[in-house]
Amino acid sequence: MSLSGAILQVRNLSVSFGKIKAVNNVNFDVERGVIHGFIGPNGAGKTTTIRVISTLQVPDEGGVWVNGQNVLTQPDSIRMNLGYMPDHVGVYAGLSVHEYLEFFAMTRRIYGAKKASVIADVVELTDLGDLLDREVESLSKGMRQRMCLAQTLLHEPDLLILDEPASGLDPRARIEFRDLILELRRLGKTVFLSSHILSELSPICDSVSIIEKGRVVAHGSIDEIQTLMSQGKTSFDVTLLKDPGNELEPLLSQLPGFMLVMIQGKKFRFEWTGDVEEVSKVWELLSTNGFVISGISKKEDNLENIFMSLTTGEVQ
Amino acid sequence: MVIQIIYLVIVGFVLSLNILDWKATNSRPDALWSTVSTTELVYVYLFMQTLALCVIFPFLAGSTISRERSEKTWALLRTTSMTPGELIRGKFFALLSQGVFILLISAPLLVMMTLLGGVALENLLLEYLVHVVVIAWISAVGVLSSAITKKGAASYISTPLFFFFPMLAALNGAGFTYLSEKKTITSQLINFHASEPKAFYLTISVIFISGLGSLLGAIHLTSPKNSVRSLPTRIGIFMLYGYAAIWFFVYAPSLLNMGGDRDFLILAFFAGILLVPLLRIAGAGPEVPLGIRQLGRDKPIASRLLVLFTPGGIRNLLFCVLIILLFIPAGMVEVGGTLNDPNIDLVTATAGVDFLRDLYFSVLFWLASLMALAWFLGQCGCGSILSASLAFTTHLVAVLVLTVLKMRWGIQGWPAYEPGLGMISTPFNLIQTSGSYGAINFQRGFPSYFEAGAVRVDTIFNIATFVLFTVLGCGVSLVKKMPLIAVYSGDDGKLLLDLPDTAPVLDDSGIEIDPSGADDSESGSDSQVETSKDEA
Ligand SMILES: Nc1ncnc2c1ncn2[C@@H]1O[C@H](COP(=O)(O)OP(=O)(O)O)[C@@H](O)[C@H]1O
Ligand SMILES: [Mg+2]
Repeated sequence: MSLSGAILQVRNLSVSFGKIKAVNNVNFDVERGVIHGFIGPNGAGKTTTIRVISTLQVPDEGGVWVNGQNVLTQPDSIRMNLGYMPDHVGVYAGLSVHEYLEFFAMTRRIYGAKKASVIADVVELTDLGDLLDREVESLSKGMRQRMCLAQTLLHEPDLLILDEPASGLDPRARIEFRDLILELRRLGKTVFLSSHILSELSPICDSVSIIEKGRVVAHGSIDEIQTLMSQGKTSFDVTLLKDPGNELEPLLSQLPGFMLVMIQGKKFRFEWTGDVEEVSKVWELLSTNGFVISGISKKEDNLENIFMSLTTGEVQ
Repeated sequence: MVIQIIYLVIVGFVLSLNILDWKATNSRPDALWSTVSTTELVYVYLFMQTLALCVIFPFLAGSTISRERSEKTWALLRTTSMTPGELIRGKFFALLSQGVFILLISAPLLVMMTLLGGVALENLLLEYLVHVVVIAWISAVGVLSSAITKKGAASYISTPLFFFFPMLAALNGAGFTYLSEKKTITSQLINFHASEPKAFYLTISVIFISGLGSLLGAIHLTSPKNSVRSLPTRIGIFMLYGYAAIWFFVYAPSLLNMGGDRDFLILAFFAGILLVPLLRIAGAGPEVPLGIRQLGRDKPIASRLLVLFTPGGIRNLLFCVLIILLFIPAGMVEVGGTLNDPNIDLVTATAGVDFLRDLYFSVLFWLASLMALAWFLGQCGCGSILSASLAFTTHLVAVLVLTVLKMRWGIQGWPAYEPGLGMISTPFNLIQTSGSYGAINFQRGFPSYFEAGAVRVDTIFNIATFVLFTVLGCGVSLVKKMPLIAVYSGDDGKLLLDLPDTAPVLDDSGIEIDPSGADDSESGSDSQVETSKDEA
């Protein structure tokens, strides 16, 4: 159905609760096999969007397609291929982890020997082996998250929808959780996860959508968003072997796209407008004029900064 | 686990002892050891058990889904391969087995008592069956109540309220049967069946309908709000009402004999059952994601046949009125056979037939008027619970106002609440007159529908309000551009069924904007409209 490699396609999606437009004309695609971060402050509309994707909420406008299937017309086949982890993982009292997994295997119509082997697989993957006989209620938050993730994997879905999976985890559990998600990507799964803290999971995301007040304000790979944020400018910090004095500015200013930001002894910073590949002209020009470069660093615009500027309305 | 096994062993042991003994003496155990005190003990115990079931079980049943909602496990379950039907069925049987387990706990004790005499074992088993039916009924209605209430706390309160009157009646009946009469409910039912078989089956089917209807309603509430997917449930609801209508039809003649209280209680109960879910369906508002459009595309002919059964806009109202119409034949029943009975006073009987027909028509018109009001409120944006209760209250207030006006000006035949000469076409009077031998006299305040030149003000009132609210509702729908009865276009037109060919478009932010995107998406939806038209 879908021409592109997108596993998830969201088009003109709007959801209102009374007067609140929780989701307002949201559009984005998520490519197959990536980890996609859905990031925005509390109340931005993440959970609402996720509920529509997970076939739990009927939108007012637009549509969502998973694997080219519409969530409204083909929810059943979508559910077969989608693992959903809600923002708060509720548990049934009195069940052990193993019973919990067995129960959810049965809700996926997995029975008998298949059930045992599937549970064994997900238990190994999510490292729940030691916890199988523990009562679900006695688990820590991190353990519960892992158990719920195990549950989403039982029917071997291609797409995992995780609502705030890392919130409330201690640093160690968060790192373990990241590793687990990376492992899932290695297994070919697409992971769509939301977070209200950018730094929490963005290091492992291949692409992100940033949502605020129901609108997606930025979407793309992290590189793309960084480039866009700096309006095509990339900053570089350069350290030379010796102090260039005043010679530097007249020399480099002849290059179109070069702008000196500051110079301080042996160090200087410049902004390069245009294709980043062509910044090598700067290095060539420097070396042909006898300047020896001892260090270059491309200044990463911190994602946190991007997030802050996007969500404080600067972009809108 | 150990305790369960011990219990089962005891039950098995006592049971086998009992059977052995019964075989040896070839008579009932109570013939051997019968004593008054143990008999009483068994009845007291049975009563206590009923008490426990009626008091505890509604709380248990009422939180079954709402607890899952508040713990967020419900959302998880609904993304699995379980259908709403399976989920509700699972909930129902889980509750039922909990209830049966409660019964099993007490079983060994009771079985031992039967050894001492009192109640025969098979009677006790039958009595347990009655208790199981009670549990099943509470479970079914509780699942519905729990599915209706979104918030856990509200459900804890609403369910027992829901059950308050039925449970009070049940306790009253159980107390009377067990403690005063010292009989089992089973034996009472057998007597009931022998003396009035039709009323017996009517009562049984009321329990059956309300139980099954509750489960269907819960499935309906749990299903995605997508008209095509809720079609089977709606048809099921329709068929249940059809069943109820047939029972009315069959039972109506025996109402003639005016056995008194119970007949009218049953009638009022039916009217109540009719009302609540229908008012909610009528007032459900036109939120029709994927209305008939989808069905029309897949099955153009079926969509025309089934259009009334799909939710949305005026279809809600029409669906409810259609159900009400199912009950009209009951009002038309000619009961020649009864009239030929020499034991019956012909004047009273003829009056009874007229009364019955009038009663049906006035109740039906009243229901239609109420449905229209609920529908109108739904179109205005009230939720279905709010619409239903507002409609009900408004109607009562209107009647009370008319009553005041009537008392002020003394107008005859005005629809008003008046114990002596009221109209039976309001729930107020229906409840008031039900269970009264004088019901016929209340209805006499109006001329019969079948009198030449008769004008029934209550009917004019109800028909007028029906028309008024239908027109108002249509007006609101047109102003708000909401689906009315549209089959293909206009109806939830903003929902996309087909993926537009365009890449995602981000607006305002300046990121990833594709200027041609907007045009493309428009032409995309145009072509979609065209396909629908082609099929139409
Ligand atoms: N069931 C609901 N009823 C009313 N308002 C809701 C409901 N769910 C979410 N909202 C509102 O929609 C907005 C978005 O909520 P949500 O999607 O939960 O945000 P997030 O997950 O990004 O924190 C919030 O303003 C919230 O109050
Ligand atoms: Mg959220």
